[in-house]
Amino acid sequence: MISIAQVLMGIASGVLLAGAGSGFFRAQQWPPTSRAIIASAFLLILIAQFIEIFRPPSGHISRVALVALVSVGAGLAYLRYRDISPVTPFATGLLLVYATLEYGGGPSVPRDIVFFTALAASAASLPAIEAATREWRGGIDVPRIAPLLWIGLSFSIGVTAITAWLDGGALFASSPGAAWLLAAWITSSGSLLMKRGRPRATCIAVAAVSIVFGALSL
Amino acid sequence: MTASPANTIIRRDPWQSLWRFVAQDRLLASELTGLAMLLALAATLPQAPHGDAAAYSRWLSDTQSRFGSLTTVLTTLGLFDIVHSILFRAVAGLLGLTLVARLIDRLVEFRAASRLADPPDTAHALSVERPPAEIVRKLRGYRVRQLDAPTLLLDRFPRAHLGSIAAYTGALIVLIGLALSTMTDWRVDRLNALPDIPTPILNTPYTLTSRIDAAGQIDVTLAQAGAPIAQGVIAPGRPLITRAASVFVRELLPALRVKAHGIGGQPLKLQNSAQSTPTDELLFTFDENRREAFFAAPDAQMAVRVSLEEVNGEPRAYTVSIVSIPDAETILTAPLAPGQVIDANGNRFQFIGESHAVLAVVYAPSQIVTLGGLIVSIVGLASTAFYRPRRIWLITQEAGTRLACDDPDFDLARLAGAER
Repeated sequence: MISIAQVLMGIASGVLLAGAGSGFFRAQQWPPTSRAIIASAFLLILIAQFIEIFRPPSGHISRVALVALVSVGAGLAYLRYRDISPVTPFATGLLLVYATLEYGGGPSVPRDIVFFTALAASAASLPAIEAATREWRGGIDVPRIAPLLWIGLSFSIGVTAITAWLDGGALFASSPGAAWLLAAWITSSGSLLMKRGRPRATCIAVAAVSIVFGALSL
Repeated sequence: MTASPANTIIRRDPWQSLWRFVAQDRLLASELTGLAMLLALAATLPQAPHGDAAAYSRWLSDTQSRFGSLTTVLTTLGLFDIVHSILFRAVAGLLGLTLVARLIDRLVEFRAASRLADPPDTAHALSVERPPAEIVRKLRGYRVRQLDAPTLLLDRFPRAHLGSIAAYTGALIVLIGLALSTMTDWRVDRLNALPDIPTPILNTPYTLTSRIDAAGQIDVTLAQAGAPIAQGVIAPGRPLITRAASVFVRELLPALRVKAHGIGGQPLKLQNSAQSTPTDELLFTFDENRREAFFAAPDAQMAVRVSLEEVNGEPRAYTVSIVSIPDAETILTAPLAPGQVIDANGNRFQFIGESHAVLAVVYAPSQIVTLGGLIVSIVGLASTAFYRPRRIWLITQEAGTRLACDDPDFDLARLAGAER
């Protein structure tokens, strides 16, 4: 039996895949109607997630919903003050579709500080992807968000290291979430040491995507 | 300007070309992205556990059923132990080389930053119809010096190069620490320490004895050749740190101590296998791989099975079954609470609830090096994030000023006003 959440996810995924088919590089010239359709797709994804919250199988909030809420919420708040590029919501949509398919209905929110620091760091992920996209395409904006992302990740990696050491005497935890966090931190750190250009944009984008997966895997 | 003759051959210094290749942003980004992808693979593929035979056999079985014939290929590629794979070490080694080259470049830049010099070829430039004094007034926090008659030199955070120098140095120290760890460190990840029984630590001269109190605190004694060398109370998140090794609590797991008395009140001898020596009491430990315990009371002609059931994923509820040995008839099956005494045909079995600890014993002197490197690197990166060094040249021209800047992120047009 297909649930309402799965139906909504299916529609949202279809819309986003159709958007992808219409051409990644033409995304900036998308008319307002297309943008509205994309925004509706995100809304459907969130609703699909929140249906699971209202009727959670385990009685706990799904971590996917929380990560999506924080990252998309912070991203939209940031984009409110910027010239919104549809490329960012496009990338976000694909990320959310993947995350939902992979982790949807999965484990509930762990009540530990490592998860919440990673969740806080993931708030900078969408603005960072947006900044990286601009930089990749030769924009002149300085991605001021990159140091913010790095600070969030440094706190997160610090807490992970302390927890891992107290737990078993290792500086780097061996869990999947810790591996994603480490991947995010090293690429984010590298981005601080590079000049403007595509290499730096790549590092920022990889860090931004990795932190979201880190928060989802913890 | 004169054109170069058509047959001029421009000779490039191969050493300099190689240096530029190793120190360039593109290579650093490729290495970091490569490391990130390998870590992402490590997060996605189940990694082989070390130092725990039961966990390893469980992992092996799960992996073979999940990946089938691909298991051999993925194992050969080292993807089930990525951190120890040749690919990971090769990328880390190449990263070390890049860090050395970039560190030397930053040292050279730091020396150059203290000198008065003309704008380099790589600086971006702009000409505006404003006098230099008007532009200087718009800048805050810059050190202004006269380079020569027409040129002003403006430096912001000239010592900030130290930040990137610290970041590269710290990263290299981290890599050195990680390389040292393979030579100096050892760890036993899951040591099952039974209460009051000295447990040898494999491949070391040490033994560990533990005693757990009701509050879950563990009194551990580390001994070398039978002589205690360290002792302390540990708990989850509160390790014992000694020069010989550090001891951490990974898990506290349930255990049951069993005593029995016959119909006349005399102690009954117990055996946990046909070959074992009968004793007055037995200790049974339970964990993920061991959820059942069996023993016999030969004098009472009874066999007992205790199983630990899971409640909401947690091992909580015990069940006891007692069978008479001659006719294999079940005498009793009942839930069991730790501390409870079970009566079976006048024989009394006492089950005392205890705990046993799964410990990690670690000797890792390289962690001091790695941690030191991380701290130096983080301080350097934080400094780089907020204090970027920048040098601006203002060259007076007949119709205004020519601006040049070595920071490609800096918007010279904005500094000069609306003129572009």
